[in-house]
Amino acid sequence: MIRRIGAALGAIAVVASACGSGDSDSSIRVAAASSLTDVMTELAAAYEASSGVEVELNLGASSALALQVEEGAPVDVFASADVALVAGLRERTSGIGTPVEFATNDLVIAVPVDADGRIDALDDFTDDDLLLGACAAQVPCGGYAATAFRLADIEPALDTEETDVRSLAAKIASGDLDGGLVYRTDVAAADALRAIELPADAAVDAVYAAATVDRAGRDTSYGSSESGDDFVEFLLSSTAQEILRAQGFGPP
Amino acid sequence: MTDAVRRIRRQWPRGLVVFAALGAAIIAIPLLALLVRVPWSGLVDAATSEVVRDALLISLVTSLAAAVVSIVLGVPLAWVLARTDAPGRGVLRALVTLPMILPPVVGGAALLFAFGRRGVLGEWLEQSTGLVLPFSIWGVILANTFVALPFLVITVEGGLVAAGTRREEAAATLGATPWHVFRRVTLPSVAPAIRAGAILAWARAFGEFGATITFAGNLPGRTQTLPLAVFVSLDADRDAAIAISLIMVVVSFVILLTLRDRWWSGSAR
Repeated sequence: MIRRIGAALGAIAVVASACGSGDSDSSIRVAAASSLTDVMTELAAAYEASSGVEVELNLGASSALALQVEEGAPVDVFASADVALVAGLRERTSGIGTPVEFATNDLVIAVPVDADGRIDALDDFTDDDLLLGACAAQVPCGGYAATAFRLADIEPALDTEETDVRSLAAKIASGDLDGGLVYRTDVAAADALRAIELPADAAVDAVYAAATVDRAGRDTSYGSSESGDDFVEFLLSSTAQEILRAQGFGPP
Repeated sequence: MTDAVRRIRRQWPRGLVVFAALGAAIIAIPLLALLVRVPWSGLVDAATSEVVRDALLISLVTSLAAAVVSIVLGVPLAWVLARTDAPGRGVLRALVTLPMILPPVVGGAALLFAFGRRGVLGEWLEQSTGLVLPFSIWGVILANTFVALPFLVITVEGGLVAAGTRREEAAATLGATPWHVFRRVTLPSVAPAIRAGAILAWARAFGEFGATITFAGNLPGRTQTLPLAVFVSLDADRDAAIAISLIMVVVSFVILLTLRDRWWSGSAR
């Protein structure tokens, strides 16, 4: 019995370490904002094709990723939906490179494509009878949404504050919400969503920035030996910028 | 107590002790690490902020409601599983315990497909009553019940099996109706199991996160429970997140501690 348990533990250890090590000599880890989900997958493929360096993606809310990086997560590049978040992280944590702005985006009102037209402007966000969503103030898209509401002098009657923009977009697409504030690129990426522009005086620009993360002092048993510098540089290349433009992101 | 028994009680096999200590450490170390990070000076401010008070109230109301609903629906379910020879009981048992293993976020998505506005039942519910479950406190209670109910069912079913059917048979022989037997014989005999199951169900609902955020959304003052408040503030306001976590650990620990004896040993008896 004991011997069998020992053997099982040994087998688990072997499998677990095989999963953890990956391709350790030519790979980098990139932590990227959830609004970059689709485009970053394409960017990673293009970078792999040109450099031969494999890219492992860790996608999530920028603020959650910043926390992971601050707590020592082994990543080489942090790509955030908010340049201010990278700047803040850099003040608190050592080993974070200069933030490089590589794309812009902006907020729109997303409604389901078959919406009945009850929402056609930002003012409709005061309607208590509609089910409305935005991101939580703690994540970048929520910070931008709060700014838009403030600029338009609107007290929104929200029904949920989602913790990442993709789950918000999904709940609008499924019809569970009547509308919400998401990035223009999230609407472009979802067939089930239609965009309504914000009024000019409430327009908010999201500035995406990437920074290298120094592996020194981090858990080096995982992942890569390559540095993230090349990847950050690649984000500004014409190849990368074309991919970003095709997905609706603006130039930095 | 015989000498042999005394000897076994005194001498602990060393291997067991090592593994027991490791097992305890896996749980104790992260909780101690949480304590180390607690911002004791600002704790009172963080713990009495409006967000935390609202979330605590919502958490208590929804988790207690889920425990009550679990008792009302779970005891009959456990009875069907333990006392009848209804066909497909094996499948039914697997089905009602599935939420224990299912990732809660899958449960939340499934609830949306069923009770969302375009869901199988949700669309009908909205048209006939105007009630929309997602993004409401009713949605939180439903999500909590979904994850908590299995804990009550398996505990009470265990209690029913352990209690046996002899006294029920005796009562029936003496002329008691089936409903009378259930109320006056079966229920009292599994009361400790119901209490234990209800506490487990409550505890699971109190800590519930994935199904809630997926199905009921996150709005401070309406659907934001303590676990959601922790998750949201973990990035931006770490001190608040740690303070809320501490409240959850203390509340849960105190309740488990005070009820431990009546709970586990009670259900075994």
